[in-house]
Amino acid sequence: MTAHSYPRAASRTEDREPNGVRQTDIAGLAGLRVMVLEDDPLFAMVLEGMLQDLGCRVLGPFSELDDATAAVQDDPELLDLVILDINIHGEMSYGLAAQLIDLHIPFFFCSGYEKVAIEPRWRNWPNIGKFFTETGLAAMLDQQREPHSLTAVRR
Amino acid sequence: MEIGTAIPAPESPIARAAKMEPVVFAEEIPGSLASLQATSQHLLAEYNFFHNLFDNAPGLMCVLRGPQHIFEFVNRAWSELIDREVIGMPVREALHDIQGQGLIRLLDTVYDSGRPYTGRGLGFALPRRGDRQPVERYLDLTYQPIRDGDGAISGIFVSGVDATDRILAQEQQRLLMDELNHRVKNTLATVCAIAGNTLRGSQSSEDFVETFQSRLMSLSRTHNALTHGQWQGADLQALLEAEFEPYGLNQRVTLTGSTIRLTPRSALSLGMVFHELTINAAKYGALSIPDGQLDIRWHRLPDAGSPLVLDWRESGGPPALPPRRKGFGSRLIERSVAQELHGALTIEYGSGGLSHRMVLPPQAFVS
Repeated sequence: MTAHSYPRAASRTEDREPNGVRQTDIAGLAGLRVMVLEDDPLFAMVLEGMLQDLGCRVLGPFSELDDATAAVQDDPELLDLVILDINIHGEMSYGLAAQLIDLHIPFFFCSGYEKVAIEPRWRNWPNIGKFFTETGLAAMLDQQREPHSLTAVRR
Repeated sequence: MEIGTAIPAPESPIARAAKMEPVVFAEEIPGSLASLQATSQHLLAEYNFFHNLFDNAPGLMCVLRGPQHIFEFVNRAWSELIDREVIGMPVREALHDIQGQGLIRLLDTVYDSGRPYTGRGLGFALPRRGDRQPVERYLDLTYQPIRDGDGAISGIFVSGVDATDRILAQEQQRLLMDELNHRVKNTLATVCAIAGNTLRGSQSSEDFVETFQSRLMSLSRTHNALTHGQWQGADLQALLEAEFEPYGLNQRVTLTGSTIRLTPRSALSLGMVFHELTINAAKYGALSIPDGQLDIRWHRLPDAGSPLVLDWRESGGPPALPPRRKGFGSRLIERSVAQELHGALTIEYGSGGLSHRMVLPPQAFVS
């Protein structure tokens, strides 16, 4: 099986063919510019591969908070969406998350942390975790691509 | 410790017995005198006998008298636990600084209701005399009403055991369970990520199953090495040996280096790196032909801040060529060494096989 013979992840509006095979329409995720900050190579590579399969353009994956922050500040216009791990080599990415809010760049977390381990301000922010399928990732991208209003952060 | 004026304890049977002297009666009734003296000596001996039993018992025992719960008797275990003089003092005053867990209220309730109370694992911070730090103790305690001759409640018998070891063991077990859950969850996520990455590079489902299983087995061997080191670290040489052992490659591989204990994170990461290098060597490199050799050497200078240098040198194999397209293995090796472990990686494509040099910072291992 080559990388391109995967069943494509589908949007929430997908239909199934009568034989149960999914349609391969990915509802506009193609061309989405997604930045990834993830310090674990395995998970970074999974994200990168799935995003590429979905037709997204991947910036990164970055494994250092400073590099990711610099990339965001460099040219925020280049980014449609950001996926953030929370603990990056022991440093927390909450500061970058706050900057993304200010810049109106949509983002979600990909952290293995339990809710209680996440800072209260971000506890209810979308987090895809470390466990996800390509379909799940596509659905999350589709849901989160519009910038959040700031009120969503308040509890 | 500051103590206010002690309220005198009411006379009680035990207090009276303690002061008891052999009674001397008038001489005109000599027969009864001898008998009374014998009885009183017998009672005193019995009092001393039980007093000693209680005093030396390992359990905690004390007797509180009256509605003020005045300490009338405390055994040695109790004295050592509370580390202060309390005889003749009401509990409220004697233990004014350790009135946790509704201590007084419970005593009042038992005294008023006549119903005993048993509490398990009650936590107390017990101050120590002098400059010593308070100690935390968990006690199983029973408050039993004491009734006098006509059935009225006159005191409380407090008995119990120090359950601190049990409570701490339970707490330790809970922490271990949490840690285990966390580790299982992480491992499953890792397995899921390995599956995704393996599928992406597989040519067929047979190819996928073979590679996926071998990666899981390698992960399992790293877990074994970590379990062997109580998850505090893993021995570098053991990690490498475990990687080659199932392939029967030991004779063609030489390992040379001092004892290095890798941190759990770098062991997990390097375990996967070594596995990818081994698979590659066995499929395409020096270990793919009978005469090929693999020489792995590592060393570090003795000073604490010096890095670990590890050389993976294949020889006698087919010439190595840079890959046209980087697969999962090469990308994992590069990212693990450079991004996860903050080390440096140099790859040489030699005529007899691949060479990798890894320079790993001291954070990757425990000295």
